[in-house]
Amino acid sequence: MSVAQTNRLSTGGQIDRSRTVTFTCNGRRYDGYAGDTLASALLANRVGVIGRSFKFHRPRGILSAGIEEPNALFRVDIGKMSMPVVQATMQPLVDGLVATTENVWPSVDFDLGRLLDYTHGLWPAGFYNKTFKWPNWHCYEGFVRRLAGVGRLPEGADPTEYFQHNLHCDVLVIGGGPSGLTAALAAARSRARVVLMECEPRLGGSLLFEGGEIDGRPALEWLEHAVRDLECMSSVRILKNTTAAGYYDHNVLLAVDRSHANQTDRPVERLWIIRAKQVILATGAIEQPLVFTHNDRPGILLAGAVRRYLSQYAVTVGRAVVIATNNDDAYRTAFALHDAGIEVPAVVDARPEPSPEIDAQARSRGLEVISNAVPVDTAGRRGIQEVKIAQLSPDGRPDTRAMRTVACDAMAMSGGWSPTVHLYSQAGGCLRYDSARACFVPDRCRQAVRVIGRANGNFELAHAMEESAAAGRAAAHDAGFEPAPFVAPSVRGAPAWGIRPVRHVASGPSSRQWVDFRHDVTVADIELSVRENYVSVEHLKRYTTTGMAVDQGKTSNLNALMLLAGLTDRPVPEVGTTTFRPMYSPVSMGAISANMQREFYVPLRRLPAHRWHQTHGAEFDDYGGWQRPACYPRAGESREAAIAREVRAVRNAVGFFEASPLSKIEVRGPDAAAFLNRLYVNNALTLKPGRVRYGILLNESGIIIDDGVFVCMAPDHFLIYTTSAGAQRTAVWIDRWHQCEWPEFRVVISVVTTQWAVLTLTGPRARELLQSFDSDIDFSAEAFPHMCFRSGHFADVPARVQRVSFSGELSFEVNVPAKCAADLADSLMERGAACGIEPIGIESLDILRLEKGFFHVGIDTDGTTNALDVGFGNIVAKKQEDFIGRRSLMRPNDQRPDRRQIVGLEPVNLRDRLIAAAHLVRSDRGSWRSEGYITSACFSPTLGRSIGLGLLEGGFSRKGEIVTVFNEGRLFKARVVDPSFYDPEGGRMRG
Amino acid sequence: MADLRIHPLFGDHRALVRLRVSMSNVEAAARALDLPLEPLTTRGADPLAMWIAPDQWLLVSGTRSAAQLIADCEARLHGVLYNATDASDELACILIEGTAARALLAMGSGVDFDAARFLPGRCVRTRLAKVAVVVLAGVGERFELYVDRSVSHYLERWLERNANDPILPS
Repeated sequence: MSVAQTNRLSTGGQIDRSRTVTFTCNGRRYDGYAGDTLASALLANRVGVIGRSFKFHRPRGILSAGIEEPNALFRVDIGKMSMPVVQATMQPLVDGLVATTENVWPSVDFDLGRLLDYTHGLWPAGFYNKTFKWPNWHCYEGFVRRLAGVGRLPEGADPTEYFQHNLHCDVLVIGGGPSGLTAALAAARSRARVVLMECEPRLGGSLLFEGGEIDGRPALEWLEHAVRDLECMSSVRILKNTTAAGYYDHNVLLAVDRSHANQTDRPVERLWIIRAKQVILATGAIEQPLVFTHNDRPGILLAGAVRRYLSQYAVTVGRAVVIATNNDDAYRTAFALHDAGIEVPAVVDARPEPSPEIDAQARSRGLEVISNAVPVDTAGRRGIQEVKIAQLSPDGRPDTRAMRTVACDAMAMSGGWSPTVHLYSQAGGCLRYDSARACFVPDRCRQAVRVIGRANGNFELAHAMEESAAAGRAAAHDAGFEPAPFVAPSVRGAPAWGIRPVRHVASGPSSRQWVDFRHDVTVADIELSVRENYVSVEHLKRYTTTGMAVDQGKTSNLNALMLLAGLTDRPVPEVGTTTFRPMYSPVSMGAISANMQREFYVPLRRLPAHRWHQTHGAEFDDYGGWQRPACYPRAGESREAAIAREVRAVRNAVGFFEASPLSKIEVRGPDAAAFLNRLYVNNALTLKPGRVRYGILLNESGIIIDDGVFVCMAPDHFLIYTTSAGAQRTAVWIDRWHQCEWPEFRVVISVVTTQWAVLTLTGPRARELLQSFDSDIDFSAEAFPHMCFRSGHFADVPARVQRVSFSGELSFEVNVPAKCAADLADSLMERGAACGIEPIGIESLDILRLEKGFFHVGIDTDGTTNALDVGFGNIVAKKQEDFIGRRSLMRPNDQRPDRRQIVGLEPVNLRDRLIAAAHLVRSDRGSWRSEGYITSACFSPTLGRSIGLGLLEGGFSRKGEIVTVFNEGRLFKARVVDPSFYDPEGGRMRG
Repeated sequence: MADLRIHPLFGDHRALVRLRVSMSNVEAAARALDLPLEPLTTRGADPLAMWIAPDQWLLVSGTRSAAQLIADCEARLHGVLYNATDASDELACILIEGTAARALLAMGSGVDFDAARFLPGRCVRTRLAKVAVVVLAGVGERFELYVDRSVSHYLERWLERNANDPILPS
């Protein structure tokens, strides 16, 4: 059964009364209307306590009507969509919406967390840095963390779809209020591409509820025409429900679009990355609270918000509303309430008198104005019931001897307005304090940005419109467009804006006077911060947490700064402001990751014969960004058994392996050999056409960064193969050396990696299989020796073939155009059946190379391994010419005999298994220390025992020595041996 | 997205050749082969030459083989230090056409694909959805995406998924 909307006025507002919307809040059903926000509907239903404060769990009500709301935070469930920490003021009301207050136990009406409030003296700012020391923090951590926070992440799959868009424009206008609309119109007339962004569902901003006349017609009518004009222009894009959250260098902004977020059938959130030539910020201003004792009681709202609820939603926040202000603007709330038939028992004004025009209007309505007075305390059980008012003495202090109590059920307070400069600050803009308006306003910024209207401290609408029109034209001009004539809309009846910067009056306990509602920071916390010498505004922020996190000090920064200034006896400009940081308002992780979720997180590459491998039962894994077959297990066969079978097939017959990801880089030109000679440790100058040479690449420090073979196809044409994982990195690295360091080399570098598929046939019967195909390449041992290259046609397709081996067996790497890979694989398997061919995966190849003792760069080498550490000393010594890393290898430290050098290892006890990453340790004066580690290890199906490679201090001179292996708490012995476990003479691969 | 079509050109037998020349020979090569020198532009019809870097072009032909294109380079680039390599197997082509095509492209790349700027005949090499592509603008909101064949499945799926954003024009 829903509750009647007792605070809804019978007429007025811009809600659709013909469409009732039913929703639930904290277990109770309510009705609202289409066009309501969750906040306006709750107020209409007279729901006072909507949540509990962050730290003390004090009952809290709605404070504001916009994005600055610190109190009304709910988990919102709509259909399957669940979102934590949603501001009720920004949540459109939709049918079936379920709102739940989360940081309460057991309920929002009776929260045991309130005990923290009753013992608040124990929990001052930074209490967690001073307490919970014994026995240690972790004893309390769980309890404190459960108490902290304001929401829980929803469980289960997120039904919201997220998308990301890039958007370019000439002029970006942020804020769809009167200033933003005017600027957008002015800029759009010049045919510039204009994007107009508004965080709420409707354009209009304050025009939606402030009334007045523009260009001789009612504001709402002007608004309707302005919006229609903009919608008709093809160069204008309007983004509603879209909040600019981040402003970065080069006028790049990030915005979250929630225009489809509340669809029950298909919720969508969108992230916009906007690159704008010119930016206009029309972000408006945020009204600031007054700071007095018990100013956080439910029923106390910002005056502008009270006016908005009344005008836009036909909701009154109470039946007797006291106004407390230090400026003229709040009087408009008093007048609106009075005109709507709501009692206004008193207007409490901190100034000696309001502006004459305002004063006259108040008198004509018969309102009681208590001048030169401030609220000093409130009372009430579940909401405000009375307010205590004191006159200000000449020294600005309240005279508590002459206090007056006024009964009420709501209060509208106004400490003046503060320009919303968060985005401007994020853009690198500096602020200056405007003492006449008692707020910080934009000063200067290095980026192409203009600030207009209230965001620029220009609170008079008529002036703001002129400023906005000029800004729109200027922005279009600066974006390269001839500005078209545009007359600023004329505004009648602009209200006065006088203010006296009295926002806090020292009266009553400061620990009960709230500065930051979101983080439960009180005046006492700021006083403590100053006592402890955290007097820099940045220190204050971190010590007290005021203005931090998602709130970014929207309703607290200015008051905190002014209090700090007062407590440290400094002028406000000297105190300065903190830096506003992205995000201006929370952005969901889903929106940030948007187009990059799940299968789109990383673009995994596929082999040319990917489908072939699939149909032949490959088990795929991710290797260096490629989806590659790990092995090909048969039905009922384990992964280990499959790998062992594949190894045996290579040792006894022939294995087929797709090695297409190997990087292939062509270097062409008269200096190709000299260029390669500079890159490689190995000599490239002596390599003859048709020959292949293994080489390693070092960085400038002599550290091994990649390896592979290079082929001399012709004296001026070389082909480099690098490791698969290092393919892209090494190609870029080689190009960079040519472009940046050695442009004098007459070479052209072309990457052809994915043009060619590499089908490797390895095993004693590989030649026999290849010879069964039609080819103009002679595969005989005499015509095609080891480490040679031939090109021609194979099975009717162009082919480049080299005889190199990573398995220790006779091997041919057949390169064919990638599109031919799958067909050729079929042919090879078909004809290879007679030779016992098996497809093999990476795992078995890894065992094969380990049996042979071939090291794998990045696995058997680390960021300290140089060319000398892997046994390339002779090659380095013999090479006369310079190469990258050569100088570093000449340093004594690089030549130390006790460096970690590559060795073979096998367990002394054959039952022990070597494990990669296990350390090789020695006892040193009673304690163990590492002298190296096992880099690769496996159980060799060929040898029937565990083998491994490792990096061991002084390893080259320790062959035959017994070393100690430490693995997961267990010690065992291993023997240092030559790395080549299988066919050390190399007869099989050279055969 | 009603009229949006995304489809890979599986039966694409066009020849693609990457041509890279020494930076000191760029103008000579452009003269010899009638290559575009202005960035992000194309020249010719068959072969179509796309500017993809200050020293690189992508040549596309529907009537000649890659070998013929490479031979043509060899015949006309005397004295020019260059390397022409067959890319017909390396690159796959995905076609996107429809009113939403530009907006869809903008979902994956920071390039300005505005209709007034990225006109038919323009091309750009960029990173779209994390992979390197060459985008060629055709007439009638038709775009060809040349992408490494090893990631074309990924890009195709990515485009299909993002074409579902209800904000895309129909």
